[in-house]
Amino acid sequence: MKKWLWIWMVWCLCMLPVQAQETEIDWTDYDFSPIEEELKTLQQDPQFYEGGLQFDDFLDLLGQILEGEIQLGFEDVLDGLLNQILGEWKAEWQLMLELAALMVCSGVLKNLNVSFGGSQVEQIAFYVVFGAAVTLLFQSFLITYQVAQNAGENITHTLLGLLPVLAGVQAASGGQVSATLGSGFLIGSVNLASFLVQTVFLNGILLFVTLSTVNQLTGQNMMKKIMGLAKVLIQKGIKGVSGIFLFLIGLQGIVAPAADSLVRKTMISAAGAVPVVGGAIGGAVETIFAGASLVGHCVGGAGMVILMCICLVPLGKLVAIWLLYKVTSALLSPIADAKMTELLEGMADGTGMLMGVLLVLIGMVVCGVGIFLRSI
Amino acid sequence: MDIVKIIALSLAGVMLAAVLRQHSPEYGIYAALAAGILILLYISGYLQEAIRFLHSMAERTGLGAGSIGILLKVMGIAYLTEFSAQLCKDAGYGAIAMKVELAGKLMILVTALPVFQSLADLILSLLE
Repeated sequence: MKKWLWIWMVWCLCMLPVQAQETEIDWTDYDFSPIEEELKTLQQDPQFYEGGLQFDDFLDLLGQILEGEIQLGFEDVLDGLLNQILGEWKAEWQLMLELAALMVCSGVLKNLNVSFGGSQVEQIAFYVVFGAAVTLLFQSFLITYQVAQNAGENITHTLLGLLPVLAGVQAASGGQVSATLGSGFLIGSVNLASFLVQTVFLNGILLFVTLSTVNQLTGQNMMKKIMGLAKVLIQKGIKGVSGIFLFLIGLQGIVAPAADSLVRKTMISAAGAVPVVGGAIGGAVETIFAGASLVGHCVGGAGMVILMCICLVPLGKLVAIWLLYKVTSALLSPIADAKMTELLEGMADGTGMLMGVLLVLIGMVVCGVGIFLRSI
Repeated sequence: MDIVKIIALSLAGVMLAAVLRQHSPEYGIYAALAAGILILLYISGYLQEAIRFLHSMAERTGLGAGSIGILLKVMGIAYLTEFSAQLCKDAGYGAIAMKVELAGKLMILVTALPVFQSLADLILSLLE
């Protein structure tokens, strides 16, 4: 009888309704003001590509990422980039025709030189055409230079706005050691890398292009060694800076997460040691950590989306201009003077280096944030 | 074919100049000059077509009638200067040929002043 009474009581308990309530993340617990201000500034920039993404502010973007409304695959990004390149190519067709006209003029004057056997008049006329070509090419190169410079500044400012948010979230998820050590180190590294890129490497590229132009004036390749040295210094320098940055970030990412893991386990164990309700409290602590971790990864994802929006238009422009120089030089080299062809090649090399600097900066940001998020 | 006519005209001018030089050198120079002018007049139609095409391309590209006009003038001055200088050298007057070349160079520099001005502005903006 008692047995049946117990079974009947357990059966009644099982039939009791359990209320489940959806909980939303309370964003007010986190301070997003640094990145929100930066995003407002970026949205005013015409180079900021939003495309199919529609978000009003950073919180809106976070909400969309959390709910899975933003679906960004590799194909989507590649499509966006290709459309940008084709759009820029179409916009720059006029530049290509102008360059073609100048190269044809140089070819006509080369013919004059051949016909009359080394004419000084032809040389002066050639330098007039060369001067017109230099003016045109430098004006277009300066535009791409400013595009790359602005993109570099925007990337740096975005990262500096994102890092305090990530550090706060990391601390909330139990990663106090990583937040303390990593964020300060990352901010310092980003500032140093930005200073080197903006002051040393970009100006070095401008110097390289100027040397390349002057080198073609005499046609005797007197500046070839200096140009080679400048190119090597810029390429090796940017690789060295990115390598050191990633090495140190990776090193920091090995030690700090181990300490954070120990802290988390200690906190959960301490909460679980409370009599009777220890298990529930320990579970609640784990849930808080997991929630903060989710927020942290959402913030990281939002940061990557913003980075893509910053870089898509400038990268498309740089690739289109670089292709334009290369194709024009290749197509018209049979008829144009060799100096004009080499002038175009020098501009193409300079644009290629600008592209390389921007890509390395993007890589540093992605890897740095990725390693930072690994410990959340 | 027009090129055959031009070749025939030039050969005729050379032969006439060679024959006339034996009797009277100045008439040889006149014959060479006349042959050159006739050839230039004959190809002026083609030149007009080419210049018209370049102007239409300039309007389409936005290179600017000013810029393309300057470059065409410079090329025209260069060709005419060299042509005249060679005639003077053929006639044996090297000094006059040098002066024609000097005049041509100065004309090119003066015609191309807007190009050098824009180049100077670019260099100044780079320095700033």
